Amino acid sequence: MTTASVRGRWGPTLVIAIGAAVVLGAAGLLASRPDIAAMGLPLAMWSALVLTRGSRRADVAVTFTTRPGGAGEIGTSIEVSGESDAVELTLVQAQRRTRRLIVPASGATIVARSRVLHSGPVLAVQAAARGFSADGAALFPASEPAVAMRSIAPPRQRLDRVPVPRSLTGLHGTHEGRRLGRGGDFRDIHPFAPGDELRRVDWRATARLARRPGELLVRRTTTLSEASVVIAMDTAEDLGAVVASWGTGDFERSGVTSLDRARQAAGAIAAAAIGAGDRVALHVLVYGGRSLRSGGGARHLARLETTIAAIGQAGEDARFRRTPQVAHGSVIYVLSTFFEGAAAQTAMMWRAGGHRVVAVDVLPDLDLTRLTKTQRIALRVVLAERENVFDDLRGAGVDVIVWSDDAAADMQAAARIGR
Amino acid sequence: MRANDVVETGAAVSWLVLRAALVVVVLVGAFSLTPLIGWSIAASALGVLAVILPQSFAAWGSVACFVIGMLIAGPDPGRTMIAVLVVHLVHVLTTLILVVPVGARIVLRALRPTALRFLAVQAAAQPLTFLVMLGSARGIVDAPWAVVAGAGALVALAVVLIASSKGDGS
Repeated sequence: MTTASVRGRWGPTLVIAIGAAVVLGAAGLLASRPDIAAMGLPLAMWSALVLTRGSRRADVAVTFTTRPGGAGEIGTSIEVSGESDAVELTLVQAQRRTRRLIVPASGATIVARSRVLHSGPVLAVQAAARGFSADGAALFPASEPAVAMRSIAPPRQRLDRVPVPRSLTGLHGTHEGRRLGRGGDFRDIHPFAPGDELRRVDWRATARLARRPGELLVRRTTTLSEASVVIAMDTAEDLGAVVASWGTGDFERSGVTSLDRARQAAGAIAAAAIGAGDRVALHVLVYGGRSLRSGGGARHLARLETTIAAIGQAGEDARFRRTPQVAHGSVIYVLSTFFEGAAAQTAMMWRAGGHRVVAVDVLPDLDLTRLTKTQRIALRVVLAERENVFDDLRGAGVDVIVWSDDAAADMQAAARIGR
Repeated sequence: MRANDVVETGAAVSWLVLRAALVVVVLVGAFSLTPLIGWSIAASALGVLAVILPQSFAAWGSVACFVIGMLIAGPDPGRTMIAVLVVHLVHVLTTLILVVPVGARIVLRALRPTALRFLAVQAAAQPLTFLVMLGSARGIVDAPWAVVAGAGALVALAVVLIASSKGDGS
């Protein structure tokens, strides 16, 4: 909500009306023409009416209410209330369309609807109000802009299986561990030792394999373990499918962007990992970026989805990436466009530290229309440099997966490879 | 295909309607109040300039042309009543145009106070004008005492309006 509560000022038209009324009256008297004097009559009466109201304090308040929008759109109800005659309302919808409205100051309700073109945080409506009275002769200063933010969840994509680290931790997951324990598959037959449960004695194996009287053999199984998953999102740039839109800030015609894909990928990996009983942590690879501690379960997944939906592009000074601490033996998914070397360096550093690292390329399928010949050559050079980065990553033992509609198959293939 | 961003406001008109209305009013005034075509064209041109550049206050130049036309044409009750309507309309529309930005949409309910104020002023000004013109036609207003009273009323009006505008402050 924003409120402007200030004393107004008179515009020039009041002075003109008073002056004109006096001049017309004087001219009528001097020329002995009552018709000329009568022309000043409405101006004098208007001035008198306006002055009796005055430019007193006029509060203008703008409040937002979320409205249920249709499919693929967000709705916001804007209510204006104040004591002036009317309000000039400046609205910015979804950071792309500016509208100016003259609305009544009392009880005006405006509904703004915007089509959702991208996931992530969006400034649904920004509004600034300025009241005026007396047909615009009494003016009041504009209020501070009020904003209504929304976080748009990315579309869901299902992953059946995601790569897990070589070393598994914990005793609560669904992955087959290497240690002895319960819940897993058969491991071996072993002589009974203190601490073994009697119900684990394999009588058939004992009858067949026992070498001396009294010897018992137990059936041992492996434990079920959980993986520690870390999702690292590089939010330094947000590049659309339409290359001509890069750097223009025009996300209305940019097509799907790299951050749209990064949010979708992060959500899908988190859902698949938590569905498999793993623990998931989330980090944004810029200074001051959001981090969510490792956790599991449905509530943690809801927290992750909310956080992912609220992750937007980092500021201008985001060229340097931070390297968050990750648990030993984690599988780390680095989501980036890998145009700059920083994310790749971080990925290789983690790999050198013994983690399993999966580099997820979130650059969308590029649309080269409206590019000049020079721009096409420049793009080819940049993409070639990116391929070098991917070669370095593969050479360092990092799995490279391109995020697309059929990323599930690539993930499954990568999951089969043990690193 | 639907636009990406939509605003629902109720009945509203474009900012162009106010400007078109000012042009129409000035044209009506120019060709009904001024008998000479030169002054009519000048008034119309100033009206168009006022629409293109509201900050030029050129609409008041049109009103000045109407006054010259009225002085040339001589007193007439019907024309005077039209002049009272046109001058008021020109003033209100010019004042509104100054605060309505280019590209704005005006919700019609926002113009209700303006319409009520306009009707109130016209409801008082038109009968008064008719009576003054009637008295003038019968020779009542030509009396010297009426001139003195009118001058006194004019000075009082000027003092009251200027004093109250200063007293209210900006």
